[in-house]
Amino acid sequence: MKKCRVLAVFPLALLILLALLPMAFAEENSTPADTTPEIKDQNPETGEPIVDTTTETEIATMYNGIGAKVRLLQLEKSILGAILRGEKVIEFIKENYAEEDTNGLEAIIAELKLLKEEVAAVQPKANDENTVKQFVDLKNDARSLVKQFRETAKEILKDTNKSELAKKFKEIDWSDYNKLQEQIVSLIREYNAQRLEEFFSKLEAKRSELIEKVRNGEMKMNEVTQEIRKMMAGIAPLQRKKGFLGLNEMNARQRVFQHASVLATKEKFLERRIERLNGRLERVREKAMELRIDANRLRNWIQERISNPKARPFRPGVVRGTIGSGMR
Amino acid sequence: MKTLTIAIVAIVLVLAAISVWYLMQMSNPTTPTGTEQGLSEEEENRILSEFNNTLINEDSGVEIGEII
Repeated sequence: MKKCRVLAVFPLALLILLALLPMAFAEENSTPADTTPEIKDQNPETGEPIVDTTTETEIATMYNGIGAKVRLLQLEKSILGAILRGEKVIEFIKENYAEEDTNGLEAIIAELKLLKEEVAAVQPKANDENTVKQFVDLKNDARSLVKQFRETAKEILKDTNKSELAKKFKEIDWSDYNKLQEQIVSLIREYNAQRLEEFFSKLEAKRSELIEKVRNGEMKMNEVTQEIRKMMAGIAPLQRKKGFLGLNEMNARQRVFQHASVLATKEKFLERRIERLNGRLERVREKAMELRIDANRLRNWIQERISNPKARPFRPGVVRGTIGSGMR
Repeated sequence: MKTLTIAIVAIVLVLAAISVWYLMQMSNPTTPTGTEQGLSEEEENRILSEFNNTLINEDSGVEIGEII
């Protein structure tokens, strides 16, 4: 009788154990990441997200090496555009508001020039969180500097007719900017062609003619999308399903990279900012001559930004309340 | 007595087999359930649109805000 009871209890215990096993598995998969380090979402200088939705989209393309290069060149181009316009704004102020102090604005433009060099020095790698971190950090710096310039210049130019400034912008020599744009367009075409090659290989279909058209810029992306739709309609269901599942896998890999990179960039963002500004500070002495700016003036401006993320360029006679310190 | 033991062992074996199958399903959630069927139009559109979003428009740029 005793033996019989043992025999009955044993399978029951086994049964309970087996029933609990899947739950243990599920538990393991959904365990929240308790060890996640503290993550900052906002750039203290601008009050904007460190990674906004547009930047997230930009990051996704950096899974590919050419995509990463494109994003860095696009950032460099935007900074160059800001420098060219900024210099004309300063000239305009000097010509029309001679009593105004433009030292602060000049310091911002000088720092933007240093920033542009830093962007150009990044060696982009495919599927590399470090490249993304550098891109996001430098983009945040650019946004901060442009915002600081805009707010300071707007105070001076509040009574200015915009068309007068637009006339000044017509004097800008855009040749370097246009060269960068040409380089970017050619890389974008190569990037899109490579993505399409991957796509068609998932479908086990050859579309070399279409890919070449994209590579040569003879076909725009909206036309390509239409072509893809037409092509998909003519494919056998099984091959079509296989192709879509392959494409889904390709998308998923990129999504995982994007998500991980976004988290990595937010982590230790502030520490990296201080390190970067200190590095820039060290380069000021050797670069001041080239940038045609007083080294001490630029050093003071960067030092001020290190100690106060909301620093604004100092303008004599302007009371700014709590952000009144700035450059001296 | 012997019959009871055999019955219990048989039940345990069946339950164990069911549990193993269940665990395998859990560890491989992406296994398609209808391998012969294609994906729904909605799913195909979602995949295609996600792919399109990863292509870069020639007119696009990295926004850093207006200088003035």
